[in-house]
Amino acid sequence: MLLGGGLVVAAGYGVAGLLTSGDLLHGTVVHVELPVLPTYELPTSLVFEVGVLMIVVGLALDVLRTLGGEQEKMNAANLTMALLVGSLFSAGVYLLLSRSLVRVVMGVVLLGHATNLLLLQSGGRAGAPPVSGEAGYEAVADPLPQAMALTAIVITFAVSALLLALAHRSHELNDNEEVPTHSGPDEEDP
Amino acid sequence: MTVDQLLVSLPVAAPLLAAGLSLLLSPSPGAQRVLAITVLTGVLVDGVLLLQRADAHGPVVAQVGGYRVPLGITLVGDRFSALMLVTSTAILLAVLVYAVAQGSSESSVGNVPSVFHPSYLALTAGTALAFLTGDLFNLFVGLEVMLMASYALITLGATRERVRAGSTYIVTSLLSSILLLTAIALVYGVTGTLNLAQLSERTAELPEDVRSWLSVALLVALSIKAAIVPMHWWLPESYPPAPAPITAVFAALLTKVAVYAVIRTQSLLFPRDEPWLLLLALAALTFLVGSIGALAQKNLHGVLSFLLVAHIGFMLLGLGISSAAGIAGSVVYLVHHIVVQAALFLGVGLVERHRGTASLRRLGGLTSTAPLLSVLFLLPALSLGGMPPLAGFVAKLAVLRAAVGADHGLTLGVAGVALLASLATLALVARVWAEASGASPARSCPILIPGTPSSWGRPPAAR
Repeated sequence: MLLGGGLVVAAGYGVAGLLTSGDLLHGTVVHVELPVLPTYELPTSLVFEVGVLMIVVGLALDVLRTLGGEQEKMNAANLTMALLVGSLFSAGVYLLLSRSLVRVVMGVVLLGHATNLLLLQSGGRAGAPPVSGEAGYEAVADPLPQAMALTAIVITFAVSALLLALAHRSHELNDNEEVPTHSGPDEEDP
Repeated sequence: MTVDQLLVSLPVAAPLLAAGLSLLLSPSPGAQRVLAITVLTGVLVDGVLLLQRADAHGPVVAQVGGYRVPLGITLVGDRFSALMLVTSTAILLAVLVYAVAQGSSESSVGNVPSVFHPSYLALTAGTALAFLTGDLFNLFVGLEVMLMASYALITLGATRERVRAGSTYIVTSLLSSILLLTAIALVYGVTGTLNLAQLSERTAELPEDVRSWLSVALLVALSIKAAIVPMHWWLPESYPPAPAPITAVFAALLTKVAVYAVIRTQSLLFPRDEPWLLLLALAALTFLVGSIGALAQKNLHGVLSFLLVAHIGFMLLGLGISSAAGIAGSVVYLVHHIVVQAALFLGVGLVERHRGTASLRRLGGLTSTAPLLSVLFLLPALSLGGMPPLAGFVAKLAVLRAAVGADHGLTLGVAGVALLASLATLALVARVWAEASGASPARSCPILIPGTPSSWGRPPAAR
């Protein structure tokens, strides 16, 4: 249901843009006046993000539920975790779409967190730390996802550092850290 | 340590060790060169021995560190992976020799800092690991090691153009890596293992819809790396600014390792009896978009990048047919494509050095000023177009015969599109050749560049 709803919201947003302005996924910025708080600028693409969020959460829930059904020793899916993974994913993708490299790095970090959480979730039920001699075989959590999450953390860390270095270099060359527009090698002569 | 273990571990371990040594040796570029060439030759010999052994005695398996199957890392060298290892290492070695020769003979072009060799060796190790692994997560690690090295290589020197291309490339690759990791997490959540051999048993027991979701999740994640249309946009953007040898390695290997991963995961984990409609549709789309894109390019790099995308379609078609003949065709095509793409991009590098530009308009008179270079470029180009005595013909024939043999309306249709794409490739080769053998730029566009010195190319000989 969540999956279908998400698809409807995301696709509906795209079609709505098509209908109102003839442009698929057309978006504008809406100003929201809130009491006390300052005025917020909300891009309408937020609706799209919510749709994507619902799809991701729905998918994760679906798979996790299958997991629960397949092996009875594992608990049912943890809804909080699934929601968290989903919101991290959509926030990460949102930041990734920005032109500024620093925001892109933030997006990468969020996406990395989301994936790591998902990896940990894929190990099923929480348990005692998987250290030899600490607890019985049955009580111990699955060690493999933890090892994989560690590897993934190292990789995300290295790539974030590299991207930050690139952002710095870009700042040196262009006075800002945005990805410059295309200045293609094939625009030599008309 | 047995011979088996040595054979499958060395291609991964030796280049990594050498990468470390090479970093230590960075004050003396000469030693770095000797080390890199020696190690790559060693890996090539190792690959050939592995291929021979896998062919004679079946897959060669080693458990790294002696851990048992679900926990430890398994390295497997079967005929497919050993063949890919041999092909890729041969290309890596050839390109390295090219890079060294270019660097030593002309210092301004071969402005290669000392990180080149370590990164290149790490790239070799990552490629070998991706080919030889028997574990889904380790496949991700192999791809990641390879990509890390490529990030360093594509931003070498960090000029404005390369930083721009590099940012696009890195962010795209990173997104696809995260998607791949997500797909892996989901696979693990459902099956409880990542060992490819165990997975192939357990995925068979899954409900049909979960199987399809997992299969598509893996395909989407890998298709960004493999530059399958509609996920190809990053490739023609990011390859051209890098130096010629690096572009050649990227074009020849990086996308093809991802294609290897697609073939490996889909054929092993989600075997199908019927042709896979999604993949066939993607293949058709890839043919069309790649060919049309290539026709619109004004620059040799652009033409080749789009042709690279178009020809990924052949491998998808072979896999999409889901028959043994189809997958065999894909494998042959994979080998052919690695070799030909490397040769073509190296050729463009030479043309660029000869002419100072890779623009199609400025190619005029190339056949008379540099006949050998033109032939060197023409041979792989014709092979890509599928002219009969060359490898491209054999590979295309294998895929197309499988498509016809499948006796399914859609495979026949996509085979038709494939033929169209081949024709488009041939037309492009003919166009490039016509430009190259045509009048020199001074004659062909006198209005655009009136003051072109005649030394750019002799007027065409009367024929």
